[in-house]
Order: sequence, then C-alpha cells, then structure tokens
Amino acid sequence: MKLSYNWLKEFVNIDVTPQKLAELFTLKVAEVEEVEQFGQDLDKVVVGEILEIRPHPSADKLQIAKVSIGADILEIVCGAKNIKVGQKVPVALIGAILPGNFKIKERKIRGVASEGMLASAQELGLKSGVDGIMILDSALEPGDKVAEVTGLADTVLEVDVLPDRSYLLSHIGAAREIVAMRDQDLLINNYAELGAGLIAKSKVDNDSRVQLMDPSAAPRYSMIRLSGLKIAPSPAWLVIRLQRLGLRPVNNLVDLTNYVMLELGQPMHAFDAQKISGKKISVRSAKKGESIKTIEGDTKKLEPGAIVIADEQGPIAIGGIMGGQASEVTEKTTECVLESANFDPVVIRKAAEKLKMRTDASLRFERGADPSMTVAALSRLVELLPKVGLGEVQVSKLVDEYPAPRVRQPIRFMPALVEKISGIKIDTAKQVRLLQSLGLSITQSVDGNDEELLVTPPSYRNDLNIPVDLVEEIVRLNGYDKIPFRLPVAPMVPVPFDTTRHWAKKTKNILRGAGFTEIETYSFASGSELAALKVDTRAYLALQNPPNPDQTFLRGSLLPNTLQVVKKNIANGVGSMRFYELGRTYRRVRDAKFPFEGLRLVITEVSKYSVLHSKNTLGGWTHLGQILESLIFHLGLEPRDIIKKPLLTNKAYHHGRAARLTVADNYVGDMAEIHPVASARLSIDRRVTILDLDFDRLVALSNPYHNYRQVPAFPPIIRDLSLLVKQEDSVKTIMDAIKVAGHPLLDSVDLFDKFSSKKLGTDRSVAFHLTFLDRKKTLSDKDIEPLMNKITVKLEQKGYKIRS
Amino acid sequence: MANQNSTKIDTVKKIEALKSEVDKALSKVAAEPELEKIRLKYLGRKGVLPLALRGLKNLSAEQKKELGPALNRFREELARLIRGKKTALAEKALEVRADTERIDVTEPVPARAYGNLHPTEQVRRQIEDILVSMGFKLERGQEIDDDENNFELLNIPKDHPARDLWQTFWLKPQKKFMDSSVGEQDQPLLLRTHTSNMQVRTMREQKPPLRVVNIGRVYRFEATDRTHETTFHQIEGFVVDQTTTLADLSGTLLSFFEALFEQKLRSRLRPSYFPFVEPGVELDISCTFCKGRGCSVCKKTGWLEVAGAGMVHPNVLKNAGLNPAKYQGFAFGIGLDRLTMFKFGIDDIRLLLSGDLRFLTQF
Repeated sequence: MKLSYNWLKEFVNIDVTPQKLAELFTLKVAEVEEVEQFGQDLDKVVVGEILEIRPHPSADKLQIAKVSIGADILEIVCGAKNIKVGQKVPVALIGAILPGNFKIKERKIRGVASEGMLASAQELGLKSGVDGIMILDSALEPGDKVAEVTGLADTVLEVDVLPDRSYLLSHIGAAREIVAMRDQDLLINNYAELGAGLIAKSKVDNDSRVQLMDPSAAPRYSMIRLSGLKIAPSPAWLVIRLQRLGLRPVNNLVDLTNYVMLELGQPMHAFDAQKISGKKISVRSAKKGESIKTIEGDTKKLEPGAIVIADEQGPIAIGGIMGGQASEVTEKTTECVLESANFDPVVIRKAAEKLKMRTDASLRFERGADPSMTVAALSRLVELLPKVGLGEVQVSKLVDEYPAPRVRQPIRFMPALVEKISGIKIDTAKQVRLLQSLGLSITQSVDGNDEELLVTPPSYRNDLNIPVDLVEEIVRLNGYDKIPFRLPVAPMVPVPFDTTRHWAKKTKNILRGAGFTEIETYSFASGSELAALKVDTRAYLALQNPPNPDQTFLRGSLLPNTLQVVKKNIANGVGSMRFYELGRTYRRVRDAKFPFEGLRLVITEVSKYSVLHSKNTLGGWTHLGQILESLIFHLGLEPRDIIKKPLLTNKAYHHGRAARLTVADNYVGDMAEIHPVASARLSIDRRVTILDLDFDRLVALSNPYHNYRQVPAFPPIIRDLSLLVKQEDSVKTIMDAIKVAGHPLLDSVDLFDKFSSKKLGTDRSVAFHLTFLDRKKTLSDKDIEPLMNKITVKLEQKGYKIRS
Repeated sequence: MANQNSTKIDTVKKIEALKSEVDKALSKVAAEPELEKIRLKYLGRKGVLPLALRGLKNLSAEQKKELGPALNRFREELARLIRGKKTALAEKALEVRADTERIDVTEPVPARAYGNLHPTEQVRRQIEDILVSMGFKLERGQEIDDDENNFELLNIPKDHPARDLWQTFWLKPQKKFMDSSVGEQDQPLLLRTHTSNMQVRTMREQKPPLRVVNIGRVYRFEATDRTHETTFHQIEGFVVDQTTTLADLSGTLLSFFEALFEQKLRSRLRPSYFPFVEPGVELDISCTFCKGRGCSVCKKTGWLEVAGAGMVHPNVLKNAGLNPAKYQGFAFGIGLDRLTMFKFGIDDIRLLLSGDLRFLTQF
C-alpha cells in the first residue's frame, strides 16, 4: 500500500519528517519498503494565468501565449492546442529542471523567443494525464509554486501491509497509527459528516430496491443515485494523487470512488443508471452458466459461489471484484447508481482466485473491510463532488440494506498477560492508554474483577479477537526495543544422537577428501532426462503446477539431475569431474497416505580422456570401486562383504558395465556406466560412471565402530598364483574357489595382475597374491604345500589353467 | 721362551703391517667391487686372516692362547673397517644422487585432488553445531505434506488471505495408488512451504520443555531471480515451556547470530505477521558487513533481516494438545540460503542449486 505523506497530513499533525515517519512505521506498525520523494526540484515551475493567445507567425502548429506569473508576464511558445485564455497552467521558468534532467533555457522557436515552457503532466513527472498542457485549478494564484499547491511535491511511503492488518489499506487507517504513535488527535473525525448531511437532507427519491439474497456473503449494501452528472477528466490534484499511489485516472466520478477507497478503505462502484434494467438490484450468488464482460473487456464465466450484482436482465458486476462493461460510467453518463457494499472475505477470496482476478477492491474485501464504513464512504464522496466539478449534481436519498449489523464482542483481558508473554512489565494505566489511542474502548470487568478489563475493538480492527492480539498492540506501541534480552532456562539433557546426520557428515567428509565436490539439485525431474534414461515414472509424483513445463515430476532418482549437471558442466568447458549429491528422492507408496522420501547418494566420475567411442577405457570404474570400499569401511562395515553382481535389467546402464551391489545380503545400490545411447542423447560425449546408493539402507546397516581383531604375532607367507581363464569368467568366483580350498590358513586373496592379448585370444591371464597366516605359530613351507596343492587341484577341476 | 717371544713379536708386527696395508688399500677403494676384492683377500675363505687363524692349530696351547685372541680381534677390526667403508661408499653414492637429481619443483600438480562441501552444507553444519550446543534437538521432517499440517494446524485456515504469504506447489492426486480401505485421497498433497509443517506433530509427540529445530528443504511456487528460489532451506525452531517469553526469544536469537557471525551484534524486533505466532515479529541484526553503518548489502539501513519469529499462537498450542494457559513459547524461522549468501558473499541464490562446478569448487 502506497501512502501519501500530504494525504496523511490531512488527517493528523505529523511532527516528524517522512523518513522518520517511515522508520517509526517500520518499528511499530509495518515495514516501509520504500520512501519515494516526488517533485522536489520543481521550484521553478509556477502557476501561470493565460492572458492572451496568438498564432505563431511562421509555424501553423505553434501558438504564442502571454502568461502572467504574478510578478511578471512572459511570452511562451506552445505546441499544445488545449490551452484557452483564462486558464491556469504550470509554467516552467528559465532555469527550471524538469524530471529526466530536462533543463529549460531561453531559446528561439522558429524565430520567436520563448521565455519558458508550459508543461504537460508527463513533463512534470506524472505517468499520464490529459493530453497537452496540464490545466490547473482556476482558484490558484499566479506565481505560486505548482509543486506545493497541487501536491506534486509529495513523499510516498510504500508499506508492506501483511494480511492481518486490512485497516492499513487506507490513509485513515495509517493516520490512526500515527495518532497512537505520536499521541496526537485525528484532525477529521467527522470526515463524512458533511456528506452525510447532504444525503440525509436530500429530497430526491431513491426508487432503487436492493435485495440481499445471501446476507452472510454480502452483509451490507448501501447505495445512492447521482443525477445531473457531467463526466469529465479529473482535475490536476486528483490525477496527481491517484497516479502517485499507482492508480490510473479514468474520469472525475470513477476517480473519486477510487480516491475514497484509498482514503477510507471502502471500495465503491458507479453504474450508469440508464444502463441498468429496472429498479431492483439483487445481490446474489452467480447462477451456473452466467457470464459477464468486465470493464476490462474480458468475458468471465461465473460459477455459483461468486457474488453478482444483478439487474432484471442479469449480472452487472462481480460483487466485490469488478464491474461490468455494459453499465460502465462513460463521458455520456448523466445519472449513476453508486454502490458502497460489504462482502464476506472468504466468498470474495474464493471467487477472485477462481476467476484469477485480483483487484484493489477484492484485496480489501478479502482481508476484511469494515461494514460500518459503507455509508460514511458515500458521504465522503458526496462531500468531495464539488472538488471534481460535480458540485451541481443531485444526490438521492440513501438505500441501505444491512439486515444483521455486526456487533463487536468485548475481549476479556488481563493486563498481567503482557508481562507473562513479553517479559516486560507495563503498568495497567499505560496499557489502557495505548489501547485507547488505537480506538479501543475499555471498561472494567462486569464481575468487578479489577485485574480483568473488557476491551472492545473498533469495527475496523478485525484482527483483534483474543487477548494475545491485544498484547501485541500494547507491546509494539510501547516499543519492541524495550523488551529485555534473556535466555531460556531448561533442564540439561543431552540432545539425542542423530544417526543419519552423523553418517551424512562423515560420508561427505570422506568424499571431500577423495576429491569429490558436493552438489545440490532441484527436487524436480525433467522430462527429457527421464526419457533419455528410459525411466519408468509410474511411481513418480507429478505436480499440478510445475515450476516450468519440462519439470512436471518430483525426482524419484538423483540420476536425471546428475546427468543434467554433467551436460551443463561439459558445456561450460569442465573436462573431468568428480561430484556427488546426497539428497531426497520421492516415490509413491501403495496404501500409504504420504509418499516415500528416501535419501540417495549418487557419486559421479567423468574423465575427459574417457569418451564414448574410446575402446578399453574403464572410465571411473576402478576409482568408484575404491570409493565404495572406503565408504563401506567407514560405515563400520567390511569392504570384503560387498558383493557386485552383473546387472542387465536397467535400461539406463551400459549392459556390460553395471553391477548390483549388496553388503551382507542387503541391496545397497548400483555401480554402473550410463548407457552410451542415453549419454549421447543428452549430448554427453563422455563415459559417465556412477554409484547410486541407498543411503537410508547404508545408515541402517552401519556400525559405530569396527571390532578389534588381534594383530597377528607371526609373519605370513605369501605365494603368487597365475591362472589362464576364459574372458567371461568371474574373478570373484575364482577367488571364492581359492578361499574355500585354502581354508583354514589362507587369510586373504588379492588380484594383482590381469591381462588379455591377441595371443591369448578368448582367454585372459589373472594373477593373485595368496596370503597364508597362522595366528599360533610361524608358518613353514611344509605347512603351505598341501594347501597350495589342494587349491591348484580344485582350480584345475573347475577348468582354470595354472600358469605358475 | 725367547723363541716364543719372538714368534709373538713377529705376529704383532705382522698384524700391524697388515693393518697399515689394509688401511692403504681401503683408502684407495672408490667402488664396491674393489672393496669386495679386498674383503676376499683378507677375510675370504682362503684369505690372509682365515689362513693365519688356521695356522694357529700348529702352535702350542700357550701360543694359541696368546695369539688367538689377537688375531681374532684383528679379524673383527678388519671386518668392521670394510663394513664402514661399504656404508661410506653407499652413502657417497646417495649423496651424489641427491646432488645431481633435479625435478622442476615449480611445476604444478596435474589435477586437483581435493573435493568440496556445498556452501550451504558448510553453513548448515555451523548452524547445527551452535543449535545443538544450545540444547536444540534437530529434526528434518517430511517434505511432502498435507494441507492440515502445513497450514490448518498452524492457524492458517483454508481461504484465508494469509495463504498469500505462501505460494504452494500442489501434487496431482494419487488416487490410483490408494487402497480403497485408506479412503480416497481427495485432498491433494503439497510440497511444504516451510519447515513449520513439523511443529504440531513434534509438539504432540514430545512433552515440554521443548527445544526443537527442523531444518530442510522448502518450496514456493514463485518466479525466481537473484534473491528468490522455488527451492530453499529453512531452519524453523521453537522453545515451549511454562514461562518462555518474547524476551527469551530476543536473547536466544541474538546469541545464536552472534555465535554464527562470530562477532558482537545488535538486534531489533519489528512487528510482522505469521498466523502461527502472536505477537509476530521480524528480527534484524546489525549489518555484519558494515557494522551497522550502512552499505550495499544492508541497502544503507544498517540492518539485515534474518528471521521471522513470534510467540506460538494459542490456537497452535491447542492443536498440539497443549493448554495455552499453562504452556507458552516462541518460534522462529531462518533462511539458510540467505545466511549462506551473506557468509560467502554470493550474489545470486540460483547458483546454489545450479550444479555449476565452476561455482561449487570455490568453497
């Protein structure tokens, strides 16, 4: 909400600068986001009276105006056609600097010297206005500074009005806060009395009948009729006010309704009375199939629930949101029906959301407008009619339907609550004073309990309903800076150990040390990556309102985003990369209310030397295998318990380079190279090796500490064994066979060499270190020989050839 | 006797002569093979000394007794000399190697071997450590939630204008996955808009005194720019006991931020509105960059807005099964990403989820 400092001053004496006021507002009421000053440099723009106009001798489109500026008379060349003798206009004197650093200098225009410039609204810094020179109020004195007398010089405070304080969506509401903060009085308490008198004294019958079909949705509907209207552009002061506060001027009557809305917070609407059929106005729920063309020109389909204002033919306005085009006030309008009504916040909010229409009116009704304001607003408008050239208008009697006037119930309030909640003691007298300064009325409790007050908030404060609401009002006006700093006291109990957090931290430390960079990606998954990876999305969760058209799912795996990151980094010129993400994935679960949110860890390695078409390159396979062992070991598990089995079913993976990983019979994830076709489709020309781990499972399997095993007291004996095996034989199977045959003295088997060659053909050579150990004595060759024999016999039985 | 003495004297002289002979030979040795020759000559199986020792057996017991030890001592000394020479030669060779070998020590290593923690993770760790040290229990909670926990139980009814404060991502209903016994899921689920979604659950499960913080991802259906993201992290915490006040809120948050920024700070509360607290406040700290003098980071105000907070609304306490007449407390919400940006001087929030390694490898 934008607040005009000039406007506020009409309601209350402000004894501080706009900047200081903004600061006070921020600290005690609501945050002022911006303070904008206007028209500060327009000292050399003064009111001029046009005395004479004559044509320019050498240019058809120009005129020469003789203008009085009080102390002097100037001759000014002017291009605009809208000037007439007797008008008051803004004159930019020589030396004036207009917005946009437009300097006015003495110059000759087609041979005639111009002693200044007549200014348009735009040239004075307004967004728009009447075409041509700005015409000022005829009552102004020539020579007066335009910025001061028109309100062009003003400071606008933009206040972030949060949804609870609807009363701040008006100047009167903001002025009441200043009253309370600065201990002032409201200057215009009777702001609507003059107009009210005019309406009350009216002899013009109002033959409209208003029918409220649903008083809970539309509790009050007040209206008058105005006749003898002369619709014209608004005068300068009104144009300036509305534009400063972000509204577009339309015409004198419509602008006045908007003016009153900004002043009092009551939205109003003027219908052209001659375009309304019949005299009966019904306020009812929209019927199925009804539609209306709004004043913005859009045809809106209405649904039951929305409130319409209807004449005998059908809807003429969407209640509380926007009027219809058919009954819009135009320059031809001579008679109008002026609506000032109150609508239920929830009804308006639902309708506005459904219709996707948010207007100044709907905003105020959604947040709760004051039902007691409808007639006051009509009165204020009537009072202002002469100021917009509508002084001759005839005002009808009032029609006011308000079947169930709202009564505010008092709040039972214990002043001791202030200290209990805020920690600061404020004496009761001061509390009472602060509440009264905000317009709340206070009486002692009926029970004669002097520790309890009965506090009744005014009708415009729909945010005050329970005792703590009053605590807030007292504490903020008293000043939050008076709240002391204290620390809570609580029993000294240890914070429970968080296993997942512990292992996540540890894992990230290991990966950092191993050269991997942590990434985080969005929780959304993009369709193109999912398609390239041939992901089955049946268990994926879809968004009703995705952040963009491609990201329609929540991620069920970290892989798609991982590949997107690879692709993006390659495009950025990053050649090799090692990174990981530890993040949540989301999947539907049958029969459960909430989906499954599982932590996955995806570790990625890409080398610039390992491209898709290069042969015999392992990519990150070996290194990620080592990383896996490191993680497993540091999770308190045994790396030798990791089992890798070929994985052929996942379409996202290279069929010859994918393994299903289990640890102690628990499936913990996959290690794989991304299928080259998938990579190619995503424009990734490199082999991408990944570990995709179920982090929740790993945490569940983890042990805090490894168990100690006695360090061998006797030296081992190490024998080498070299074999010739088939290309497709599994090293793991061979090693298992060796282990079984070497029992019980064979302590470990390590692959130390392997090679293939043309000469070996479909065979390959593999070589192992066999470590024998006896924990009770020093081994001798004699102890080993029988086992070595047993091992070779066993291996030969299985068809492996012993080379040495 | 004289004969015996003369033999003895001869032998001693012989030993001395031999010693000087060996010394002379050793001093000329420059390489290991020569040394080996000398060793063989004197100590080898057919060398001078073994022969001499073998010659002892022809002597009388008395002579043996006298000469034997002398010869043995000499043999040992000789062996020691040769070993010493051998060590000296080996060390000499290594010294020559060290004097002649050169690498280009200025040459950079081929590729970086160190990794990185995400900047948000780094700040998150610091924050978690501080909060744990203050006795807060850490929770993470679910990100996919229902309207009830994300809004209604927090005193944000349906169709209330306060909902404008949280633009929400909604999930498509997942009817097909539901078993009829669970009932039709006509209420769509949502992505939590704040980590406060766990507040009522936690209060229901645990009894006061409560000190709990819930940290995690939250989502807003909003257009993104340098300071706005659809996805960010929130630290939501609350303290509920019988006498916890706004003053405790003020003190707790100030000491938290002083610990986080490792400096003395000033703080201020400003009125604000969050439906789940009353009074609702915004907390500013004195700008950590300019110490409150006014700079571009604090937009010349001298203050940084770092937390939304307030006293837990009585309706929320009631929803959690706590009697508001007996229990009260404060709650606060802090944006982790914004603090991360302050800490590292990052000027665009969208970098955090970009996966851009040129960015992430800076931390």
